[in-house]
Amino acid sequence: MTAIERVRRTRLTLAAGAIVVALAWGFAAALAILAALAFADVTSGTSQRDAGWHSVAAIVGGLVVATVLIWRSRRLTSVGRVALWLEEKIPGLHYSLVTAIEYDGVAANRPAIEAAVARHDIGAVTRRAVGRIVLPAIGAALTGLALLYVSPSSALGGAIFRSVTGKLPGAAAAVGNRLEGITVQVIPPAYTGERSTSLDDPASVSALIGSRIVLRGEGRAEGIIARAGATELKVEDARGGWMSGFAVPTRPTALMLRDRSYERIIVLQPRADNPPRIVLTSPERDSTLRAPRLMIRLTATATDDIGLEGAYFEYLVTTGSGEIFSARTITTPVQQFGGARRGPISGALDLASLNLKQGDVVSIRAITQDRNSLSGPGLATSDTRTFRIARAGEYDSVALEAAGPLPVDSSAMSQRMLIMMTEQLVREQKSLTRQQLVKRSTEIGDLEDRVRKRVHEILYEQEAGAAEDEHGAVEQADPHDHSDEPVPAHNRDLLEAYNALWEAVRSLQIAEPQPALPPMRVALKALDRARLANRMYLRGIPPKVIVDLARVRMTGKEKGSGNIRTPVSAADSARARFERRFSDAVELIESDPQRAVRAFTLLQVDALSSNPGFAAAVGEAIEAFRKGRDATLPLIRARRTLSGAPSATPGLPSWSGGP
Amino acid sequence: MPSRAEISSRVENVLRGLSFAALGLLIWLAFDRGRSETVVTARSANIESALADWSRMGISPDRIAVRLDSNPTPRQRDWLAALRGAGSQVSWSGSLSPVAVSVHPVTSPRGGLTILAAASGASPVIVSDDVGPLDTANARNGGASFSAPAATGIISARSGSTVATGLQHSTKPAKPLLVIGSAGWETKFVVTALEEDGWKVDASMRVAPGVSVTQGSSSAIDTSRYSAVIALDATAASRAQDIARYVAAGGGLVIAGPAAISDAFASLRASSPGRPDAPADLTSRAGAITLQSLPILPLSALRGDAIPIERRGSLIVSAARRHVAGRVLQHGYVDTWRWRLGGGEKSADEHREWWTKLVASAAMRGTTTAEASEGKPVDDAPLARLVEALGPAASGSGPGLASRAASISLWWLFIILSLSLLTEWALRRLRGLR
Amino acid sequence: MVGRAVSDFVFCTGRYESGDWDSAPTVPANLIDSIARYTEIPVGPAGVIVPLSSDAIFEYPLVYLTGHLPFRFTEAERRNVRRLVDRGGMIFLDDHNHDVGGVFHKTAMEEMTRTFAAPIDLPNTHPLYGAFFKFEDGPPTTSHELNGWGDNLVHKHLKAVMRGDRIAVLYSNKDYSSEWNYHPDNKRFSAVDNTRFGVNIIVYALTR
Repeated sequence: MTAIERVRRTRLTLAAGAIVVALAWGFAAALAILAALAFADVTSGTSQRDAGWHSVAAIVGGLVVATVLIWRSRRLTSVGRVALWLEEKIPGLHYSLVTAIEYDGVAANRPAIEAAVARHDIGAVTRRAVGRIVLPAIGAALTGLALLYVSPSSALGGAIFRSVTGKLPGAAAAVGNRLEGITVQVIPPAYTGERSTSLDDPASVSALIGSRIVLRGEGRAEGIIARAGATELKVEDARGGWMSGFAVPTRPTALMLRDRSYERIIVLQPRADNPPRIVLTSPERDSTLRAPRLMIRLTATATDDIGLEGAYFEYLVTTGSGEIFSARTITTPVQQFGGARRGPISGALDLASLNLKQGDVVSIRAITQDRNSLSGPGLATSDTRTFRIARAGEYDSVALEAAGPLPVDSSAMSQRMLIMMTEQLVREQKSLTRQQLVKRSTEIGDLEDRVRKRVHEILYEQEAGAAEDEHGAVEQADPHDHSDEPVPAHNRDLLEAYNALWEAVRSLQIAEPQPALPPMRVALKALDRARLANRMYLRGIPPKVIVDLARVRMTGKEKGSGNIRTPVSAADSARARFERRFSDAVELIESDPQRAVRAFTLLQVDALSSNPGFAAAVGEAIEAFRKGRDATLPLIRARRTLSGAPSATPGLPSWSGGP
Repeated sequence: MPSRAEISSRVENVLRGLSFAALGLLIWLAFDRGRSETVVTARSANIESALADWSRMGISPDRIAVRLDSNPTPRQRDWLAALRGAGSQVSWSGSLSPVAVSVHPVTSPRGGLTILAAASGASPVIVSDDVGPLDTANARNGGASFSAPAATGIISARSGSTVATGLQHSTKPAKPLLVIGSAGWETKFVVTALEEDGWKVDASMRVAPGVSVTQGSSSAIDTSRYSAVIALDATAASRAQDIARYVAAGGGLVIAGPAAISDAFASLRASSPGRPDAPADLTSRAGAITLQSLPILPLSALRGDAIPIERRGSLIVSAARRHVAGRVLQHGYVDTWRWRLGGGEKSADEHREWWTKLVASAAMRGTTTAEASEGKPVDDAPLARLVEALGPAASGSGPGLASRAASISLWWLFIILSLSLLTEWALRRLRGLR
Repeated sequence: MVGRAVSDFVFCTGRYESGDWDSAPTVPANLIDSIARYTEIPVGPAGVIVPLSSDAIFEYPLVYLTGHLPFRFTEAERRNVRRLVDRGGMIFLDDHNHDVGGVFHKTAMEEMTRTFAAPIDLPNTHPLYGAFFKFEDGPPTTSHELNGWGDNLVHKHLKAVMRGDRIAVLYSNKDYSSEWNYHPDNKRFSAVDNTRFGVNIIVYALTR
């Protein structure tokens, strides 16, 4: 091998070494940049999601380093420079190599030069020299790999390394904030027929009660804690990250997520399924009919916020008089709405089909229900329309006379009392002396006689000319009387009462209370019937009784007694608590903004039920904080909603603390 | 012909001489032999740095003139006063608006503040707290008053460029109230409204002779037990002597018109009630009743020491007076319960608020404690305190031209000295001499 | 009203659209008489009848309702009674049928539940039973409960819709409407005044 060939070989070796060194150092630089950026991300708490630019930065840095090193080694392209390098490394050459290169082929003493060159092991020297620069470079590359391995980087280098070596025990890869970039899927209840919706990184979630919420985020589930109010939620690994699913709570709740030192709060706002509404549009008003013949057109409109199931009409038919009534309920077939939010129903009611009689009342209403199969169904009824069939005498002008209630009322009351007194006397009879028995019995007899006379007066007023027989009984109406005027029902009752009272008075006045009781009871029933019969004629025109207050004031025999009142609780005790918490949160804004946002978020959750306006304004303030905007206006609005607006008055008050 | 080097050498000598002369002059001036006075000025924008500069000067300025376009902070004001005490003649100028602020807690469970801002003319006064602006009013007859249901931090009142600041005060919870009246709608709804607003209420509602519905123990009417007594009608007359003793000891009393009719309250009431006055269409206003539409027993014979509070046209509806150590507020509204039941959507809230304010304006105030300012400066009457510290504003445009020239001569001497030395050195270097 | 320093308590009978609201016409006079007999409460000498749908109802914080027929509120009536109760008023509703199987009771229960809340049994130790006269055993029995009509039961409890501790709506199956529906002058015949519980109701409404 000639000297030139040795030099050329050395040049190749050096070039190869330089390339290897450049590549190794470039690779080491790239890995070190990746590792350094990953560490920097962790320190600054920023997301690893933008690691793409890390790789770019690393590649660029590596290329720059490699390029610089190769550029610095450009002299190796020159044979002369390589020869000089060799001369420097091997002083014993005494420039023979350079000479050989300079005078290639034409030197006179070339064989001597070749021999001088050949005496030295240029290859070994070259290899040693290359080794001295290559080994550190390779060491640097390995160091870079090791650095990347221990770094939190999930970028290119780390992934390849892990994929080549597999998972090493005890090597927990540290990650950034796993609570960023959460997606929330809201799955409404099946009965609504609505599709699920997805929200990206929301600060609050509003969902129908009965919905299911699924949270998803990046990274592994281990170490993530989720709590909705006091309930701990399960967080599990899912494809591509972690997830947690739960049912929407029935009250506003703070969903607290924690990942090591990171915390996040999402406000859960449950919405209730409102009950439906139904409006009866026809018939428009109540009516009183002379005859039960009418075709009533029925229409109603039902509405609901989610979806209607169906609606129908209900008729309540009430029959009776006095205090005896019976009722029957009839419903029309249900008209289905199939989940529509608005539904009209219509029908027709033929009153003739209900077999109504005088005095009967038909109450008509529409009823609807929604499709809420979880907490309902919600039910709604419309206003009621009433159709009444008038009684025969209602249109008689006499019956409509504005008269007070018959004193029969008071007679009935007294009669009941007299019966009780007589029953008491009968119980005590055995323990009384004859004198006592006579005294008490005649007293009751006198009272009973007064009642009898009062009933006689009423009868006399109403049946002028009616005469008493020698026993005081009023002549009974002749059952064969062919007069055109039938005896009114109430008068027949009064006659029966009058005659029974006569019998009772006779027994009482001869101190025989026991035999007096049956006719007294007959009289009571008759008086009741008479009293009730009269009431129907006076419907709509109640009597006016004016109490003589001056006469009766404080004449009551019994005295009342003092008693203690229980205090009423404050109407809005939550407001004072919210005001305190609001002030405390405002004071944190300058010193600890993150804690301030946390405090406002929890306040918003607590206020959602009792003061939704205030909660909404606090929510706006939180949104402003998050976006770095000025939150003054939302905070002012929140405080005014909670506590009321301030007021200003020009001038200083003449009375301090005046209203 | 002198060479360049010679010329340069001569110039250097001249400069050296100039330097010695400047140095000599500086030394001479330092011995303060009838030197002209130093006058310094500053404006609001740079007063903070100027104060520091003046204080670092070896000799404090003879005259300090400050032009203010906003009130200095208490610290700056005190600093100027200290410079004045150290011998400087301090004057200030500028048209600062006078404003002062006073912050009082409302004596009621719902809290709140009354803010009184004194200001001149009809200038607008803006009141704010740590959150932001609270309200604005034009001053009239010396100022404006504000009522804030809630506020955070320090309260400030701004008029023009002057800002006065005040601290909130916290008070102990108000003591209970005592309501005395006959069983009826007014007594029932007054007690209910006050309780709904958070007051603790003792009550005595007379039903019949010797029969009352009571709440709490109203046996002793004492300033240690009650913030205020509310007498609604003549049934309270039987306790009039106890109530008078209570008010004289510092208690508060609210008398409604029907109670004031009784002569038992003659020594306490602000006025004997006049003939009743009622809007003609009262009965048709059911559903839209307001306080202004209620019948009244106007206060027609006001005592000399009574202050009218509220009017309806020419009639006085409410008035207040002091009775020894206590306060009495009398109103003439009849059946305020009608407003609560028959008013608009918020009438129950308004009725409640009105009664609380009424009671709060007469009730005994508890002891108050100023809340911590957390290091923020508080200045409730900035202009007054400025005048107190530094005297009234000076007229004139500031220091004269000659004195201004004298005050800056030291700097010029220093500049001349520095330049001459530097130039001499540069010339020598250029000549190559060492 | 303005001429008096303290306005009178005026007994109000509520008029509703759906049934026979006027079935006990002398109850107001009887109770007014009782209030005057036993208390010093200023009271109007006659009662008033006010439609529930009218805003005039807010002049009367205690409203008496009774009837036999179906009991249903119109929207306007429902709005008004709700507002009356929310602002501190009280309603006394009595089943004149005294029949828990009857149409008045069923519809009234439905309307109360729909308008306010489901009524609960009022404990017989409630302050209502000591508001003026003492009723140790709870609501006094009426002579109509076992008269063969209605459900023929003695109802041990009244029912109430509460607002906190306050009775907002008092509901009775005991037929006080029949018990008190007589001219007040006839009290002189009674050994025991059976309207005393009505005094308790009114005093309770005026003080709670």
